[in-house]
Amino acid sequence: MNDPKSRFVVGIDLGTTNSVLSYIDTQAESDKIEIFPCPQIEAPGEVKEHALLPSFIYLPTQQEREGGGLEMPWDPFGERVVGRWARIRGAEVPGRLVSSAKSWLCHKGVDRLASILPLDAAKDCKKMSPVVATATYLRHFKAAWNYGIGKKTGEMLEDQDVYITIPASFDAVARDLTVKAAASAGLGEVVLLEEPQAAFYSWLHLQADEWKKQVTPGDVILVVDIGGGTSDFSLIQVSSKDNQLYLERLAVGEHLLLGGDNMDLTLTWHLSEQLKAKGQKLDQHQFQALWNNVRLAKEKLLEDPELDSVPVIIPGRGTGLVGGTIRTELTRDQVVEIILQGFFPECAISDMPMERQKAGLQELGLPYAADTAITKHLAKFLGSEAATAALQEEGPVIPTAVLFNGGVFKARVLMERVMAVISSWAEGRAEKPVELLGTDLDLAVSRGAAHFGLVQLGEGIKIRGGVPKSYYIGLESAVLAVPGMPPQIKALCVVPKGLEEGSTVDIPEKEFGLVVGQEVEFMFLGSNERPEDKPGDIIEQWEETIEPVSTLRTVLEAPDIEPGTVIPVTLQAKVTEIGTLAISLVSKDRNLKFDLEFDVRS
Amino acid sequence: MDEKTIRSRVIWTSFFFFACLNCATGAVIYFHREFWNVNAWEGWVLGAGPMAVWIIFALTIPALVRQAPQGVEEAGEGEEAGEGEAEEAQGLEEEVAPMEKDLEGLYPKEIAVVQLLGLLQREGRLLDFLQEDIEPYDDAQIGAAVREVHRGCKAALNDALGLRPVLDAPEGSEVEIEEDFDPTKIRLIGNVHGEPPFKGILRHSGWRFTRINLPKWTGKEKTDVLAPAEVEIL
Repeated sequence: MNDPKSRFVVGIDLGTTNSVLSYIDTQAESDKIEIFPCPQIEAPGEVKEHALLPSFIYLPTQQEREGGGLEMPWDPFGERVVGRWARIRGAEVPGRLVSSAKSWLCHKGVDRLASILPLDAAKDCKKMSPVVATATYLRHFKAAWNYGIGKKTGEMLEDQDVYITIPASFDAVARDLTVKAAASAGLGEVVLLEEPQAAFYSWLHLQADEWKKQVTPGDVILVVDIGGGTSDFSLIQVSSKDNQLYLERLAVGEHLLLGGDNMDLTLTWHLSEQLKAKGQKLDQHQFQALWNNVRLAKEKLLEDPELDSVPVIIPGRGTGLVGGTIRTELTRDQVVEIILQGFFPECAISDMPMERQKAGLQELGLPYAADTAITKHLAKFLGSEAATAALQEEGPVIPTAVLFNGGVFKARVLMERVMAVISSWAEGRAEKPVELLGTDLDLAVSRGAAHFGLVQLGEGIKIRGGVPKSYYIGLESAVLAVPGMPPQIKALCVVPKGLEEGSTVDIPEKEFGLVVGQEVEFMFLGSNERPEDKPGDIIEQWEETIEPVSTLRTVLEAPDIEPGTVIPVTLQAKVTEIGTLAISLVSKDRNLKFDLEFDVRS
Repeated sequence: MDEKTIRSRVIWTSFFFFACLNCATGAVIYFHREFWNVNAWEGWVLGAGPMAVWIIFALTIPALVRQAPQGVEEAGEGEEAGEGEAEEAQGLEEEVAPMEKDLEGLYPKEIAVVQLLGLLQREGRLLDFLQEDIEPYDDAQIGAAVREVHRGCKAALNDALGLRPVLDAPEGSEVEIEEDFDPTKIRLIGNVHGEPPFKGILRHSGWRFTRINLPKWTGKEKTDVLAPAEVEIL
């Protein structure tokens, strides 16, 4: 093992609904991964440690702050409550609750640096940007660590190697913003890791050396990670060279805003509509109670096939508990219809999810997936160009093994359903896909991130993969402009899919004449479907397969050159060691380099 | 008087004190012009030192006042802090006045009781249930509510206390009582005579706790609130 840069290797799972920090003490005898018990406000005046830090921020009113009980040692005025109490209290006062910051972080339709959350904020409530919200969770971890382990060992979190997980489907901009959030939380330089990979690292950690017996060269492992708010798929291939096994992440799925919370919410709506039909209207508080109990009832029904129905209780609102209690029940038929048929329907591998109908005016909000059928999204992913081209297969890719992650799969039935669907796709093949077992559904991602820290130190096998998408720059083509027609734009490939961390590509094919002192702006595009493109390739007809990601912008400032001078530059792209993209304009003759910045204003 | 007033009093009194000090040090610079030089550290210390100390003091005092009134004294700023503390004690006295005298000095021993009951109410609505008149309702309605109370309280109690039976054997089975058994743990009933060891039937396996895992208390030192009233603003 290489000498560690810091005593602790830390992995942070920044989830949509829950975050977890885990760590490995490199001075300890074993490589045991510990989960950091994170202190958080349990109720005003009470602080308790929990493994999960709910990713919610509650912004208290002035009276609440003065009333006390919301302070943490690092937040002496109780300005921002993070964690359990934020979630519970925020449900009662939704205008002061910041949630799903992570989903906003990768939402192209909004300015992610602008203070927009909470979306419908109370009048006197100071809004924050998705980046600041993400930084707030990280700052909570940092402060909690420094007050606990930091005080005991003298090792502050900002001095440790920190690995933060992100959805594999995060584009270059969302990755960049995550790193910015970590920097503004004072964590210094962090390294990013894709969540499905992290889940797989956690499995590798559990297996230790046994993993080589469980997989063979040629195997393709599918990671299905369904969190509270997002679904994420990745394909990992096992290959061998010179008697050595290699792991490579082949493809990642599209960003899908669809998760466990959607399932519970759908069931809850269903029951609350039923109650409404009977004349019992629920208020916000009762709806929350119903939501919570529906989740428990759903898990019970999915676990025990003998049960036909489970009672669901909505306790009375005031002190009159018994008198006001509403009793309803969740039946097996409802769960089967809504969860199994709605979210995990049996489908053919050729089935495609329904596309969203583009409305003229879209409300500002998160772009949730239009079709809730996760199995259909999975079929689409396995049949997509991204997956098939990497394996050079004709038809869709059928995995040989599947690893599940995410709290949704605590209901084993759902795991079995997904396995059954995948097996039906493997009809006619010699071997049926197997399930990789043993990881903890809630904690695996965070644990895997800590294990990845050890891998970076040279211990254990690394999953190679590089950049999950290919990226392009939009060029206005030099044809005669036709009045009334938008200028035609071509896409120039700058970052090919699979480019490894730490590598740089130059694109000498295209030279730009740029004016010093002026702002330059490029369209930045990305594609999941064109793994074959090489840097320098120019694609004329791209609208079908490539989509805009953001805008790249910089002002060419060169103090020694007179403004207005035109200098020739070429493009250079770099995948940084921490997992972000850096695209620059380089003038070889003058030895100058201008870094292009992502513009996240929509 | 609440904590906010105490805080602002302490801050402004100390401001007055440090401002006077700064005037004095300003005068020193006036008479020793050689200090009036960017490179001389004396100039900086004399010119800005007292106010800088006050700023640090003003920033730390709110946390100290709230979290550890005795800590204020340790911070060294004797006069003002002492005053703040005295006032705070008085302030709480006023707040507590309508309550019964027994509640005085609630912290920290009894706070555990407040916390545990608060927890059972929050998680399982126990107080609502016990305080409600359940006579008018039929058993099915009570049963429905009990499910909620049972689920919440059981989880909360187990998390907080880690309940285990004293004797880990099925009730109704035969158990042997050792010679040196602890009578506080095992109560013998029925035909008890002679010296142990005994043989008997386990009628009730008892309860013990394995931990006390209550949240840290950072709230007020004195409180009579187990669950706050809730008012919805429309």
